[in-house]
Amino acid sequence: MAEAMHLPIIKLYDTLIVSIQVELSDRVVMQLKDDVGDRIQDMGPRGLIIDVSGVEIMDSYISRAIRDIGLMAKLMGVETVISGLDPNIAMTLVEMGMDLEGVETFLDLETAFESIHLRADTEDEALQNIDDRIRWSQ
Amino acid sequence: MSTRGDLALEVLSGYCGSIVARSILQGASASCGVDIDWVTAEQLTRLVPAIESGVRTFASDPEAARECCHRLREVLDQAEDPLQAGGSHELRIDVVAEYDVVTARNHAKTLAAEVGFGASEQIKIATVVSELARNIFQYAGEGHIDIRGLEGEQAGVEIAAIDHGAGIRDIDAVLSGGYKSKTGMGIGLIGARRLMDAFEIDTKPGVGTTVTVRKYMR
Repeated sequence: MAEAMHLPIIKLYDTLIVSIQVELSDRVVMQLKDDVGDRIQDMGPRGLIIDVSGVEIMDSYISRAIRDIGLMAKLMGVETVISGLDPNIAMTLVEMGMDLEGVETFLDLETAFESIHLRADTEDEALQNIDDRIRWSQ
Repeated sequence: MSTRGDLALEVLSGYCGSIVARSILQGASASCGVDIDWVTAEQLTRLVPAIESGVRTFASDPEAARECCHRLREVLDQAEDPLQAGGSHELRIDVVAEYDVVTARNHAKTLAAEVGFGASEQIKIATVVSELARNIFQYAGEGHIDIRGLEGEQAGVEIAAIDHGAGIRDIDAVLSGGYKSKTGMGIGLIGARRLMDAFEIDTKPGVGTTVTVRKYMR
C-alpha cells in the first residue's frame, strides 16, 4: 500500500498549525495523526491548532479522528484547539449527536492563535511571579 | 439531445454574441441558485425573467431584446424536460476502495445541489453518503451506492447503500446505541438516521445489507 499524502504542519513561533485544505480521506487523517505526534515530540510546541476551515464535509469518522489528534496532543502536554468549523458542518455534527468533546474550538485561526498566546503569556507571568517569590525568600 | 443551457445559449448568442450570452446565463442561473440544464418548471418561471433582464441590459435595441426574449421562451418551453425524461438525476457509485468514500460524498453533494437542496442540506446528504459508503468499505469490503432524485409532491433524494457482506447481526442493538463497535459503525448509522427523513435497513447475516434513506425538500 502506497504511503498516504502528508498534510503540511506549519510551525509559527512556538505553535504548530495544521490547516486542512484538501479532501480528507481516512488514510490521510491517519497519516496526519502520526505526523502530528512526531512533530510534537521533535519540537515540543506550546500549542497545536487544527484549522478545518477548508473542510467541506466531516462525517463521524473524520470528526472523531480530528478530535483524537487533539486529545493525543493534549496528553502530550500541548494545548490544542480546533478552528474554523463551517456552520453547516457544525449543524450536521450536532444533529448527528456528535461533538468534539475535550478539545476547545474557535471561530477562526486568528482567535485560536490569540487564545493560545494569551494563555502562554499568563503562564509566563505566573512563572515569573514564582521566580520572584523564590528570589525573595532566599 | 441539446440541453436547455445549450438551446438558450444559441438563441442569446444570435442577439448579443456568445461571450455576453454565456455571462447572462451564468449570472441568471447564479442569482436564482439553479442549474439551467436541470431546472424544475417552478424554477424556470424564476429563471426566465432573470435571463430576460440580462438580455435587456445587453441587447442593442429594445426591439431586438423583445424578439430575443420571445424566442428564448419558445425554445425553453419546447425543450425536453430532463427531469421528466428521467434517468438524469440518478447515479451509482461503486465502493471498492477507501477513496470511493470521498468520491461518493462529492457526487452526492453535487446531485443534491442539482435537485435543488440548499447548502446545509447538501452537507447533510453528503455526510450521510459518506457514512454509508464507509460502512460498506469497512465492513463488507465492497458494494455500491445508488442516489436518485425524487419528484412529485415529496421531492428530494433517495440513497440506497447496498452490499453483499456479512450483514449486521444485532441491528436493533446497533440502532438503539447499545452497541459500540471499536470502529464506530453505530454512530454512523444512528447519525445517518437522525439526518434523514426516512431510514430503512434490511440486513441478513451472510447475505448482505441494504440501507435506504430519504431526504425531502421542504
